[in-house]
Amino acid sequence: MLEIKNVSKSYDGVKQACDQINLTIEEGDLFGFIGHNGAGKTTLLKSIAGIISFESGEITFNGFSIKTKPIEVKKLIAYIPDNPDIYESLTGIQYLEFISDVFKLDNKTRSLEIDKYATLFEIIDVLNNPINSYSHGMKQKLVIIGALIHKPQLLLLDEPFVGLDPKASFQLKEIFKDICSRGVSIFFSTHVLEVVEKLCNKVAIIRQGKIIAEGNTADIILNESLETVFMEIANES
Amino acid sequence: MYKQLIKLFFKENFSFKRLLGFDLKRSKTKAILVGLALIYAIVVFLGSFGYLFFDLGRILNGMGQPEILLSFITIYSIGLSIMIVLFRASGYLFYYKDYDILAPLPIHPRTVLFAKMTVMMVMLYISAFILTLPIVFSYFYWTGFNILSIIFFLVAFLFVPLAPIIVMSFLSLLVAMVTSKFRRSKLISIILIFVIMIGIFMFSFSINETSVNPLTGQINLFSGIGNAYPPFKWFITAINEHSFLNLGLLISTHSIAFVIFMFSIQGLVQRTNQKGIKSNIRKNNKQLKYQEKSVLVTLVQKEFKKFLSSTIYAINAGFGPVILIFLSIASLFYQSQIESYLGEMIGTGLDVEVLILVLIGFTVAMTYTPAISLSLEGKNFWILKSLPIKAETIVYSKIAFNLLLIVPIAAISILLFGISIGFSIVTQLILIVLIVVFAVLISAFDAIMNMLLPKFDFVNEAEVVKQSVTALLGIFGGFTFIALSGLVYSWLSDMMSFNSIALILIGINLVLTVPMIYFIINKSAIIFSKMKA
Repeated sequence: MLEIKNVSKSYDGVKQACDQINLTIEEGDLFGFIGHNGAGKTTLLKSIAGIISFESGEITFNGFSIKTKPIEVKKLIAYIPDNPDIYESLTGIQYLEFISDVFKLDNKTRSLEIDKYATLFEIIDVLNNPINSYSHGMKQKLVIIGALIHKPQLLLLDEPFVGLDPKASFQLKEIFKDICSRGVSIFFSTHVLEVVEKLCNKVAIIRQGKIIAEGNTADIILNESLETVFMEIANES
Repeated sequence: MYKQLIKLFFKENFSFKRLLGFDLKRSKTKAILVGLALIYAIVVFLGSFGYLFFDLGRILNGMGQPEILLSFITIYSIGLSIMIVLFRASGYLFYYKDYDILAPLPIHPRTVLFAKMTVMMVMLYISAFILTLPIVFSYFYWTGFNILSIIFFLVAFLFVPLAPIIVMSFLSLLVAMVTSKFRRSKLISIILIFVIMIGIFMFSFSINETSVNPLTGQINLFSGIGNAYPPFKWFITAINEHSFLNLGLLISTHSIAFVIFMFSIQGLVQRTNQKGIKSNIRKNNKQLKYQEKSVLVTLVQKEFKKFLSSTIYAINAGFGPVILIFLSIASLFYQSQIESYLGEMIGTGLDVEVLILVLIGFTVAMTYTPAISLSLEGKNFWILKSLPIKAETIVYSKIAFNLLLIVPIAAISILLFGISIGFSIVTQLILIVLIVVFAVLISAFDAIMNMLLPKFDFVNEAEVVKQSVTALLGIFGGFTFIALSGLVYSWLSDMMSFNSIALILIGINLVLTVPMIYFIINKSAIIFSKMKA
């Protein structure tokens, strides 16, 4: 279970990128995170992943604090950024081997997992090519595969569908449903409200660093569309 | 449009934040550290280079030949132009990162090329001016600060680098065009540039008659160059004799050649930029290979791939090992020339063991990958920060890579020098141990500098490799440790043998290394957690 308690983060000491955020993400939750550009989504995701520090509050996953036990938390999670900036000097397979080495996957496991996901996302034939020859979408697929092969218990994704072709988007949604049914938690940001509405059991809306709505998706949208609800809530606050 | 581009490129390339990698106003401690480092660099530069030329000016003036100082200015600005353009043309004139942004805009490619060239030239003029300032001062101090001479100098100074700019830009473009056809284009490009550099080095070595001190050795070089390259004489005569004819020759030939060059290469530059966009993905059915490795080994492997994929990184940080292996092999065939050459460069009268040790020490200090490799993670740094890898393991991997780059070559070089010069086995072993310990010390120092002053926010890797504060601190820090060892040697040389002093130096270097390793173990995680990714 991921627990975010009173987390605040400021880049300049004046404006709060995250302001007293409280969220709980349970096992098996598929949690959508929406908000305007610059609302604080990426900051919160990076704080959970241990990429940036935060001034106050606490983030724990399965009892481990990201502040005091970062390595233990990172062993259990995977993070996918909004822009797939990866080592251009490596080939696709070298990148996945690197990730496998870090998570100490044995040869059999890594070959099975890489083969499974690379075939699913249709990049198995280009894994021997250098990453600098990949398109944006292919890099995104590679980062996603890198995040999945070590079977994390929590997936943090920042706008994961950007750059993916329709088939890959569909496959990713299916993977989300599958792994969540097996107890994995997913927390992802997106601007595609339709995806959250159809896919997520929970949703949170952030505005100017503050969570302005949060809960079961069904309870939040009631009989309206998420887009309507989002616009209403965002305008009200 | 040219003006707007220039304004934009200048902001992009020359802002304090861009040059230093952090905001001066918001990072007071870093600002103080950088300020101290710059003061140190200026003092070292003026104290050594400045004094050397001021004194040489006095001697030359006494001999009635102060114009020889102008030869130094010419040769240094030409040499610097060769180096800067060779390293920077790729990234400035072609294969620039913002091609995707600029190409679709309604701007003529020629305008972009002119603006890019202007930025590179401004950088070159500033660097050449700083480098030659002590010589310029010495020349005018001894000949008198005459307004006409100063005007002649400034005008000639602007035109003299144009010829090397033309030649080296064309060579770089040629290398880029040839290597783009190969799969391992970066590696081939690195090898070709090393070949060009060693060629230049061998040329200067072959026409440099050995003599009493390094500066007089260079004076012999000038007479050879002056005969082969007329602009060299035009520059000197124009300033020294206020010759309008020579100044006119310099301006007219160089400006005409430059304008013709700029107009004739624009098509080639455009094609090279377009070829730089790789869009065709070939399917590769080669079987995938899997091999488990430890985290440290996989990180070091990643460093090697990065090193070999970046021309500017490999050429600059890899220059030490290449020149070391080149000199040590050459010593087998040209033992006396190499020995006297080292004597000229480092100091005559020193034992040959000391000369070799200083040479290897310098190449170790110049192999400064840990001072920049963390910064070079750049936009990829999120990967390391999000993975369960201890911060100190990342730092160790940077240090280990640097040691693998220089230590085996340094050890082989000691053995080769041992064969050519005739060291005892014991001396060779002691030298190897000393160099290993020194390399660990320098690598740890470099890595700490990069941890404290990282520069992730760069557009071109050259900003980190050549212009960053940590690159400067890494190299000059290494030189300081060499100077420290030199002091110990000069203090003890009358009292004990070389081998005994070398053993003491091993001990001193070990003692200096311990607190650095302690710092890495205890502070890396805290420093990493505060780094922005």
